Amino acid sequence: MYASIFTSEAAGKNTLHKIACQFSPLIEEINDQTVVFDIEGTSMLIGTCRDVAKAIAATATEYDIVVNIAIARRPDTALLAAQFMSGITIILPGREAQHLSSLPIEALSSCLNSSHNKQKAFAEREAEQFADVIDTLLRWGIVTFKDFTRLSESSVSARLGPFGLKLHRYAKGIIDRPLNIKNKSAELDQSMDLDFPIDSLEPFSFVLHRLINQLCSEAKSSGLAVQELQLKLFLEDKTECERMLRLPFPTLDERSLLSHLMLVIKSDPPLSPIISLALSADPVKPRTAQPGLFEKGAPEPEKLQLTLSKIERLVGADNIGSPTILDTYRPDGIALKKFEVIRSTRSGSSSRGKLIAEKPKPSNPRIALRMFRPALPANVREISGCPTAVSAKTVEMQQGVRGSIVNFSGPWRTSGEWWGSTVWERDEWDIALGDGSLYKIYRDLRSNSWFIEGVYD
Amino acid sequence: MTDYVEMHARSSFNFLRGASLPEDLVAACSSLGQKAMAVLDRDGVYGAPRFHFAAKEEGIQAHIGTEITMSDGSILPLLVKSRTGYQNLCRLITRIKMRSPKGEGAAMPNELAEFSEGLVCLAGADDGILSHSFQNNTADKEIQKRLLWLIDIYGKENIYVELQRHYDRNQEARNKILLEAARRIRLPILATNGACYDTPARRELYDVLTCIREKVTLANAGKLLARNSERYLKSSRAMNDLFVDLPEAIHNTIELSSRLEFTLNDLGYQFPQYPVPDGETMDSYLHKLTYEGAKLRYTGVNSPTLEQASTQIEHELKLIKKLGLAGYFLIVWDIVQYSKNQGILVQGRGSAANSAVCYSLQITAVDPIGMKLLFERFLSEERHEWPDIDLDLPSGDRRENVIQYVYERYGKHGAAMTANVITYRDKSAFREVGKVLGYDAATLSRLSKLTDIGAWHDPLDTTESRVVKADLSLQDLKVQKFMELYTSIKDQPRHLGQHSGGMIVCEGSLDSVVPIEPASMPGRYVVQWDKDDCANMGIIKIDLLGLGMMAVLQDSIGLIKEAYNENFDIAHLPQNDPEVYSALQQADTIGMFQVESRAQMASLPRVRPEKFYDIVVQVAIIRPGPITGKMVNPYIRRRQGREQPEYMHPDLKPVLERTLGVPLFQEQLLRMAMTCAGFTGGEAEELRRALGFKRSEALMSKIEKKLREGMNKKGIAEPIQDKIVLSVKSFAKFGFPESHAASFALLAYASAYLKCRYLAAFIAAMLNNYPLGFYSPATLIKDAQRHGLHFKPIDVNKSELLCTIEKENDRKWLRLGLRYVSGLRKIAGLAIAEERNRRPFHSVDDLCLRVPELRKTEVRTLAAIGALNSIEKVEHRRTALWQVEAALRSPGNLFKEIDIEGDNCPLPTMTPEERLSADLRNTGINIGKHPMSYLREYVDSLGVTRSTELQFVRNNEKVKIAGAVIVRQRPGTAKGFVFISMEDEFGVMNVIVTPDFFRQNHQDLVGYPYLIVEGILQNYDNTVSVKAAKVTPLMSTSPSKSRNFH
Repeated sequence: MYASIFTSEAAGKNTLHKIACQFSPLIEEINDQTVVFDIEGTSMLIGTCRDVAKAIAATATEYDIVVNIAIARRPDTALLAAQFMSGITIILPGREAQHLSSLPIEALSSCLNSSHNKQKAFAEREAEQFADVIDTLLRWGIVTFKDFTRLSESSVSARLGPFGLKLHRYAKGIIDRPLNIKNKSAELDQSMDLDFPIDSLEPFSFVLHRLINQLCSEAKSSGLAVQELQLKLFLEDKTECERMLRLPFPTLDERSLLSHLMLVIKSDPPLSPIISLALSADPVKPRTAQPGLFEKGAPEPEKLQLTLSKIERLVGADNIGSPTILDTYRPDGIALKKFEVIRSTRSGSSSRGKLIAEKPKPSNPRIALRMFRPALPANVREISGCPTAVSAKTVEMQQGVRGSIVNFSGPWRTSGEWWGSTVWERDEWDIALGDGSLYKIYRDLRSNSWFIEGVYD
Repeated sequence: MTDYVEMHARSSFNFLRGASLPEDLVAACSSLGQKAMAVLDRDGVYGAPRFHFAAKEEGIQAHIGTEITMSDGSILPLLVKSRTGYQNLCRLITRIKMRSPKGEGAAMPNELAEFSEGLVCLAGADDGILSHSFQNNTADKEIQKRLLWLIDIYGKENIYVELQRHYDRNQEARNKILLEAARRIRLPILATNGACYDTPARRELYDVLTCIREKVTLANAGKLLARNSERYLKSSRAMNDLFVDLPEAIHNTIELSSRLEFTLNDLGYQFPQYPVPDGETMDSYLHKLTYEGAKLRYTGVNSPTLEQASTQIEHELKLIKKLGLAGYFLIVWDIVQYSKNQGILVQGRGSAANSAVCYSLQITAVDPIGMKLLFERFLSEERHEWPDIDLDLPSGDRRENVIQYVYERYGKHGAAMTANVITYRDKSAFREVGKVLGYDAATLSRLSKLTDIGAWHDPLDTTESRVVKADLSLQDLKVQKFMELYTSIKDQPRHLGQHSGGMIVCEGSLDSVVPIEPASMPGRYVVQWDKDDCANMGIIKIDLLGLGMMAVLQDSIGLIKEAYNENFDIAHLPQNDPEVYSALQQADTIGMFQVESRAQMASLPRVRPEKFYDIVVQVAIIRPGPITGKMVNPYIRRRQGREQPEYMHPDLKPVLERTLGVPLFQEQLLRMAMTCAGFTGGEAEELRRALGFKRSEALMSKIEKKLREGMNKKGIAEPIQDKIVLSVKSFAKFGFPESHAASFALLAYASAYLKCRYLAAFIAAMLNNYPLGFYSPATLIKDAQRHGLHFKPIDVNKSELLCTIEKENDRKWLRLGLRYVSGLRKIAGLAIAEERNRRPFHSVDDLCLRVPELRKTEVRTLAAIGALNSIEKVEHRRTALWQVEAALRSPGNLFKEIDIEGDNCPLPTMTPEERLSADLRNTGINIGKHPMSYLREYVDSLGVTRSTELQFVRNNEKVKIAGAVIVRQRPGTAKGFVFISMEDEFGVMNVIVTPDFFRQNHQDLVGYPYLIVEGILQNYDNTVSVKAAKVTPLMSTSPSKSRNFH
């Protein structure tokens, strides 16, 4: 016998699963609102089917949700009854069709959900077929299971094909199938209440190590790994704080996970002693890629990540990464993107087999510009809109920047982002001073102020 | 300071690459005191006429040019030096366009030489032909090579190295290389600013257009956007300052401008000559043909005699000869002859009906002499423009047949349709600007749905209010920008479409007058100018317009011959048929041409037409001009004898007598000007054009002044002058020419006659030519049933693709055609009819087997609507559906011999409601009981008054009505009022909805197909309507379709 639980409420993700777990290990989760499970043998423990149903209902009450419960010989019959009949429904073997007869024909759609692990294309095709059959049935004036089951199997088969026949059998409640039991890759979580509050990092790292160890073992036993850890700390001052660790790769390396997490905590320690902690993670598939034989050597991702985390702790999260030029005319249009080691792939490598390295292509010599960050506010004297003398103070250069402009090129004008608050508009000049030094200066046309942006080497 | 001429400007006709209209560029150029300017469109001369005329008005020399897209993606700016150059340019563009899909195309380097004469080439712009060369390390050599190649093609004197300075480092580096190359090869340099807009502020719109073109948002556009706002039309001073180190670059702009002699005045267009028999000239041949026709037209029976007509004919022929227009008349006559020979109904409309020559040549059907129509409205010596002849043809294939004849006769390069410039309107502006600013799909959808409903523009409905309704904050900077950009993008050209019927032809090749390109529709070609531009450029246009009613009349002729065995001739309809006038007087006009609208129906019982001229007036009176000019009610009161006709001035009595003192027709306007102000016919026509032409505000005030001067001379007092001027102004814009009204009245009379006398044929033709008119097929059918026509359902063993007439028991039945089966493809419908004509289908299997074109869904639909019921063993629709499923599923080889259970259908028959629902869902029509009859018991219990009982309800009494909505309208002239027509099983009812009530009950009024409306009954001269005070949706299982706000 099978039992099915259905709730129309937005129950927690695992609530129905947890309820079912108390009665059977063989559970098929249809969706967040429906489960079906095998209750064979429970009668020995609980009693009749009705008793089992009542026990399930009592458990549901403990979880504070209202459910429909149905028990039937076949899982899909139980499912249909739970979804469309309120309260407790017990369908005795042989009376399936009678019980289901008043259901609307569209209710057969629940049978589509009952098979899992379908490929997307297959599921789409099945949904199309279903819509087609239901459309035909409605054209035929068939609106309930009773109308449908009155038709003979042979005539249904001849007109609606194997899929129609399958639905016909569903409507009769005679389709049997094994449950589709899936090892639930539920959230991994571990927690620990401490006997006394911890206020230093060292003992805390021991506790944390233990939790990480348990969590990794649990993940490993399911053939999974961890990429994201969420640590919740309950503090003595009755507050809570959360720390998050996101790694760019899945791992089961406990030491590495501990080091990373401790770095996170060190960079932002809790403000009060810890009395309890909970660690959770979403399990993911482990890394399977193997570096190629011809790939350049690169640091181990775990080590690299650790180094990056250390640097990040020193300079701040916004100041670490690889510089990248943005697609904009905005001055200083650069950003930092996440640092990644780019591994060359063997395929498509044109240099494979070459004995002599290619000569680097000659490029035009370029003048380097050393930027002042931030740009130096400057006083500029101008005649007819052209700069003739400049002066600015700078910490780096003792005398500052000062002198008559002996040569210049410009203005070079840019403006943009006029649609938002980041609008800019400025004229740039390259200037040469009497002492031979070259600078890039600009006038912010919106504030009408001058700045020295950099010095040319 | 040296004068400067901008030689490389782009207007917004450079579609999405320029942000100012040609007129705005010209205005800016004029305000800068520059004497000339060159505007270059991309691969075309789309904006050239507007640029030319705007420049002419400002006294600026308009240089024409084009940016030709090259196969490597660069552009080659070409300027026109001479007429030969212009012709070469047009041909080059045509060649590029004709071989490529719409909106694409590029020139191959090897074809430039063929079209190089008379053109000047600019090399050097940012995206120009040399742009790719800068990417190499050997840029200087590469550039020199390319310049030498261009010299080979265009000659050294016709190449300028173009330098632009937009305060850009990279550009300046490129300029250095270009300058060196120019000096090495001794080519002149030319300063341009590549102006894409008139003022720096338009840069924002320019960026938006770039984003639309590249399909990106502003935030993601990056370097696709402009670096700065420097591409505006700069003053000579600014350009001199920019090129202070290269004065010759500025000087050369003046030098080049003086070399470009060509303007569009020198277009060289000639209307084609018509081949005449030996010994004839075009004039003599036209004379001969006119008199041959006149003999048949002017017989003296119900028409003037030939002698009476000949004075007018001679006058017209003389003028036609003087203006050299005989060829034009002969060509139009030729098209009309072709149509008639092909059995295609054709009728001239518009001002051509004012011409006795056109009437004699059978181009038009209204006798201008008999109707005393003013010839000057059509043609006058003073007007210096071509006459306009519009031909109405049956819409669809028959019109296409005539269009293809013109292509065939004048060649692919000798004839083309005029274009229609599609500009940004409310919805598209909202959507595109919103998208560019990065609003999400839901906001965009909300914004575009908030545009006007119907033709009425609600004054409370401002851009701001719409934005607020879309949950956006007016304080938000982005929203403010959105509104600014929305305003500035409106009316900017978006792309080129095809005009509905305007064709132009040319002596020689049209592609040397204006470039031709393929239209989206296969087999159609369009020129790059719209109809106004063509008219302004002196190119004769022949409008070949498709008119649904012409197709109905044409089809009716065939159906009458078949079903009634009578020869029906539209040209010889019995005059003054009492049944026609009775129907008109009772506003029983559903389906009748031009008199079926709700507004027409409301005025017909008050006007009570009694003769043909009354229909002419009726067609003209329900128009925006007379309505806004408040002329309708005075006319009706005078016609009813409740008010005496009044004339603004005694001299106007002969002019306005026919319309009881109310000016209704454009001809009356002309005559008023001639009578009161002493205008000649040509001057009066100029007045009409000035008043009606949106771009001639200045001209209008000039002519108004002239009008007043004339009236002063005649001693007409100022208050009367004001009255005359006001009435002239108010309807000149929208008023009908009397000749046009008369042509339409002919069609209205013919359609009314057909409906009254040959109902079956008329309705079949209407249904076969749907969509047309005001009402849905369902309404036409219910109306026809109320007039006694019987219908037969769609049947695979009887129905053709189109509706047909069957005779049975001395009665004519209209058999519905397969075209009304939703989702049934034409090819499948034709295949059913063809196969069935061989032998009837004897089973559902037989049908599926013999018509393999049929898809599964199509057969099911046919079964659901009962179209298979005539097949043997099919007892009812469900039996058919039962058998269809078996027939559609092959049992396979193993089981094919087994006779499966299923011949005895276990399914119940459909209930009448189910049948109705299936019919409406799958055909949109229903020949059984009206859907309201199923709700009758319920609505009766609510105390609802039936449509037929409304006329007995007292005026101003409260009433409750219920029905299916068949039409919702919100005319622009009705101050926001909405008119809803509802239908019950007995007839049609009219509901008036005030703007406030519509605003409050918008959802119910627009969202539900069946309504119960409570309100006050208004009965004016038997025109009954209910002013809505409460509306409730009426729930029905039957779907119903209405025509909304069309």
